[in-house]
Amino acid sequence: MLAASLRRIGWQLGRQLLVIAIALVVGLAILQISGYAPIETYQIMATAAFGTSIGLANTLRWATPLILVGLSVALSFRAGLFNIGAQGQFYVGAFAAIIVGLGLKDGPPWLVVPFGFLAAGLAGLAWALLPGLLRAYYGTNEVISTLMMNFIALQFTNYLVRVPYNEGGATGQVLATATLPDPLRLMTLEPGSELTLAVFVALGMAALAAVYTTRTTSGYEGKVLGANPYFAENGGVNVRAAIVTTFLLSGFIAGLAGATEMFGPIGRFIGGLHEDLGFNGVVVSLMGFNNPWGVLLSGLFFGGLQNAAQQMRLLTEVPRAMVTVLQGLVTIAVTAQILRLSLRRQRRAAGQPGAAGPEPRPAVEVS
Amino acid sequence: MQRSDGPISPVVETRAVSKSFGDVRAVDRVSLAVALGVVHAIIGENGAGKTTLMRLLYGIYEPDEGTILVDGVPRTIRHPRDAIQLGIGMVHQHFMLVPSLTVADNVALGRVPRRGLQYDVARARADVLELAGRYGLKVDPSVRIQDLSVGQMQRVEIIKALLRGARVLILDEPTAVLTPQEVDELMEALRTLAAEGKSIIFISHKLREVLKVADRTTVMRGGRVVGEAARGELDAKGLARLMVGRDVLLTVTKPPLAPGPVALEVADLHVDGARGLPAVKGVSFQVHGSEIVGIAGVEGNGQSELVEALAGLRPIRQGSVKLYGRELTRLPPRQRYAAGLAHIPEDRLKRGVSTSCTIQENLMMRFYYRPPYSRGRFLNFSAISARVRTLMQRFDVRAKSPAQPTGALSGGNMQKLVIARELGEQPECLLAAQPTRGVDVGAIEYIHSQLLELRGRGKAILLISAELDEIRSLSDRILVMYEGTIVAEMAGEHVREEELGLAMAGHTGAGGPVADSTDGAAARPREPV
Amino acid sequence: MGELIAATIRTTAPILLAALGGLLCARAGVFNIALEGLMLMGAFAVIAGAYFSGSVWLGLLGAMAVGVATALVFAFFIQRLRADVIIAGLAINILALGLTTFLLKVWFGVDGSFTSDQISGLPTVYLPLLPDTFFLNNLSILIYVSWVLVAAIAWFLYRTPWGLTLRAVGEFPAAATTAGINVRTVRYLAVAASGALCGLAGAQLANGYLTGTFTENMTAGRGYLAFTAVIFGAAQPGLVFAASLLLGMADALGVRLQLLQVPIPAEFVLMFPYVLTLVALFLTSAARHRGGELPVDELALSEQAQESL
Repeated sequence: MLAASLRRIGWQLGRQLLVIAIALVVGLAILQISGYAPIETYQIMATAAFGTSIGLANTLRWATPLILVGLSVALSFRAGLFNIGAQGQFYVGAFAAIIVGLGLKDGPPWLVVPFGFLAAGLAGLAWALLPGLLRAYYGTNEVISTLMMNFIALQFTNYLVRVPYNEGGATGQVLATATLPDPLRLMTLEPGSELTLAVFVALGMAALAAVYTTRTTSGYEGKVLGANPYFAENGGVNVRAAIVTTFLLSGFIAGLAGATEMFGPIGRFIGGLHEDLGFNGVVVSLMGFNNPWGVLLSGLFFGGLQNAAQQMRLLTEVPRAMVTVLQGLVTIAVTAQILRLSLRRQRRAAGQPGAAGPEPRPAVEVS
Repeated sequence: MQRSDGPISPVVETRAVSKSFGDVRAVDRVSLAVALGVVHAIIGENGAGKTTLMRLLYGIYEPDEGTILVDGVPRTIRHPRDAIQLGIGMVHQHFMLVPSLTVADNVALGRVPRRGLQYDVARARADVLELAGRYGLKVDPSVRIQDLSVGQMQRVEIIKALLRGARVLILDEPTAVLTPQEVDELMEALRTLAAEGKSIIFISHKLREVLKVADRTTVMRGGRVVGEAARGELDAKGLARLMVGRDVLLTVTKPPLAPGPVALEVADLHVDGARGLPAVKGVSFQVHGSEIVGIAGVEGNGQSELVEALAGLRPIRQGSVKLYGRELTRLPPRQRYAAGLAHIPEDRLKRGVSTSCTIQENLMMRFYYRPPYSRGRFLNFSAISARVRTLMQRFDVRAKSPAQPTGALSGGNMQKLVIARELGEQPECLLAAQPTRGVDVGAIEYIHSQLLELRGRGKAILLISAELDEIRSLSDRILVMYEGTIVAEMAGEHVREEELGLAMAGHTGAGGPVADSTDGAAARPREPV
Repeated sequence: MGELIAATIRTTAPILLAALGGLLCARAGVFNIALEGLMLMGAFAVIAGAYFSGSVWLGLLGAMAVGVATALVFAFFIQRLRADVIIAGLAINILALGLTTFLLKVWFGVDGSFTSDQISGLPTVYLPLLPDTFFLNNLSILIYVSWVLVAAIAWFLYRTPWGLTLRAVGEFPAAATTAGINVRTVRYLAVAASGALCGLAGAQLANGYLTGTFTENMTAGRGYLAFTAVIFGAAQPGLVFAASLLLGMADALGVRLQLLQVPIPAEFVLMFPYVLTLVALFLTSAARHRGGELPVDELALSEQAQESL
């Protein structure tokens, strides 16, 4: 049984590596056509991300919010809920952290910082509550509702940054709050890099999420909900409660991501900060099979990409946007099922999931 | 038109056609010839390959081997469009009609009449009426599909096929959703069509109907043709033997038992169905311990909604449900189960199991939240897996290990899993909805024996089934549901199928029982409450 | 005031065009959330095309062609490769952002935005009998095109055979297939059409007013607004038009609020379309939801997107 599980994980990992490879190859082509040296570019990016200790540190720094947002998405996706609201939950979480930090700026750090994290988590949780309730009680499409909440959060935090909390002029940024005082900032782990203690929050949450999904009653309920909600209902699971719980947990974790950036490397809220984080979190989760450990690994990979992007301007002439292109390529490669079809035959032989289901697939798409 | 009796010049023929899905050989070197103007039935159990074979003819699948010939010419049929062009039409088991469009729209789909650039609605309607008149299939072209009855929908499907010039009409389990009277009407229409030179291929697993209408019958089992007979050559027993491969016990022996105290008490139940329309309109009955009460009725008369309401999956607008005096009406499913009410859902794949979850994950659903299987929020896997193994053994769920995904199990095994889960905590009352649907014969016998065993131990069972034989042989009492109410109550043992059929169609014989004294109990119409 | 109306009309046009594309896809059963990326590609293409060829018509054609090409890639991934429609849509949006920003640097050598006198603007419609500076005069031709399209698409959907086919494919693809329709082809065509329409939307955005300019990420969420207009309008042409108008109005208003010296912060006005959509969404799902039925959403995650180890 263990051998079968390991074999399955092996296939999955192999598949993801192949997916990344395909995306990278297409990226190579784009670079080549545009007149840049492709292999060299990749080498530079890889070295920047993983080759030096500072590089690695910064990769971990960027992986931190990605892992957290990835976990947030993973919990929802595995429960069959298309919650793409991590971006908005991140924004309100980050701002809550700033409010606590600035409001209690003279307080003892060992008290204020955890409280700030808690506030951030709760803010994210609150932001996920409405879409969660709408979905649980009215079946409201959560893709749209969470998308709307993202935009609303952006505008709302932009307002807060522009008017009541604006300290931008002093720090050279138009839409920014004041910076949190040094005592409240998390310690830098690697001198010269932006890596802080915040990374342990990400690692810790990944571990907690792993325990949650595999060993708790709610984790089980989430899984079954995603696998077959009718079955869950029939079996007595309180489906509405399970849906809301999932949204709340997702929101909390995404909110925490906001706190890690505020108490960590950035220290202040900037309007429109990390505007792709939410969607990147979706990709991280998909690449990680909506599994906490998978999210950890793919979060590291995307952290590396993000790190490379930051340094692109200094190291090469290749526009930073190339990394965005790569991210898009990876996303679409991940969701394509080229490999899936042949893998399905393998799995069938091994008696794994994906074996011939009740309704065989016709040559003509009858549905 | 002279009917040919043998394949002198078959209009459609398959030669050694095969189709596999993965390791499963759904159709195995099947050779079949259908003559002109003949009603040709294909019978077999669920999974015998009948539907797959027809889908090969209609272009939904392509054969792995073998040839399909139309009018003696080999043809490649890759898409229903090709089949339609060759004159093959299909009426599917689950109607392929777009609900928000009208009858005329649906019939027009794929060959829409035009006037310039516009859709010629008037002509579409006229086309429908013309065919409807010619073959006696009454239907109103301007009505939307969602407002039609099931029988009417089927007529639309037939007209759809005929309008495309079908010379061969394939019907897949056409009588599954019809009342006995509607079945007769359909048979009449089929005979008319055959007389006009159409060939009808008729898939069924209902021997009686096949015997009534088929000129020729092919029996399939395990993907192969195991026999073929012309009208009159074989009787029901003979056909059944071919279907199953051995003598089939068409009935089950049930020891007579005195019913115990009232277990399940349903009073004046009102439940809403799809689109807010009432589906159950004032239903009252009781099920006693040591008793199986069967609910007979054509699908769509409120039985599904009734069971869902009893199980806690659908809200009850009015009325009450009690189990041994305990009020269940407002309780959610989990608490009803805790009170002793178990439920085998009619749609196994939708509600009964989760195919992507493991067997263990499926089985633990009814007990994971209680100690010792969980402590606080944490699952206790050693206790859980011990229990799972016990259940698997006791209820004969055959699999390599509990960590296997449920989707790999056969229908019968899956149903045993459902039963293991539901009966695992010794319920007092079982709601069994279509418990043997899509299940192989061996598992059917096992499931029936489980139900009788429950009954023997003093438990109460409410059985809903579309298989009249099953209802008749297992039930102590039969209630007939029609359009949301109970219209008749009969003693299970000796009820006659005609009475049952009439009641199912809503005819409760006002004016007294329709009894034949030699046959036993008569149908007693229910007094309106 | 008149200026506001003109601004509303201008802001609405790209949203409407993209929304009409989304409507066709929705009717075919494809949830096209890639409108944002398709529009962005169109915006870039019209600027690049007009600049390099010197002709705005070629630029316009280029915008449509690029839109169609990108949309076909999207369609290929979701049909042939069975990618999840939402994820693939998001991927297209990310790709479009990356590619256009990338090419902005590689082809034009700038970060941020590019404009040039060599780019001629889209042809405008001159209404005689009205003063030249009247706010409704000299509006881009695409604005009129968008209005005509609303009626044309309504006629197409409800009065032509192809419209009937499209509606059947979206509502019950199996029924369409067994009636002999090739669902796959219909979906490809619908998605391609949305690509063309989004190309036009992008062209209007970039080149429909003042000098043609392409700015990094210039769609700024309008594609998502268009998507929500489709939902809001339940894929019915008239309602989608109304929804687009409403959203466009809010967008135009927000930008101008400070000028009007109304004490509502601009952000709250900008928020308004989203809040409105949320409310509309809630109302429609509350209305549709019959008590007791499990709140399982039609837009369920594909098996693959939901797969977890």
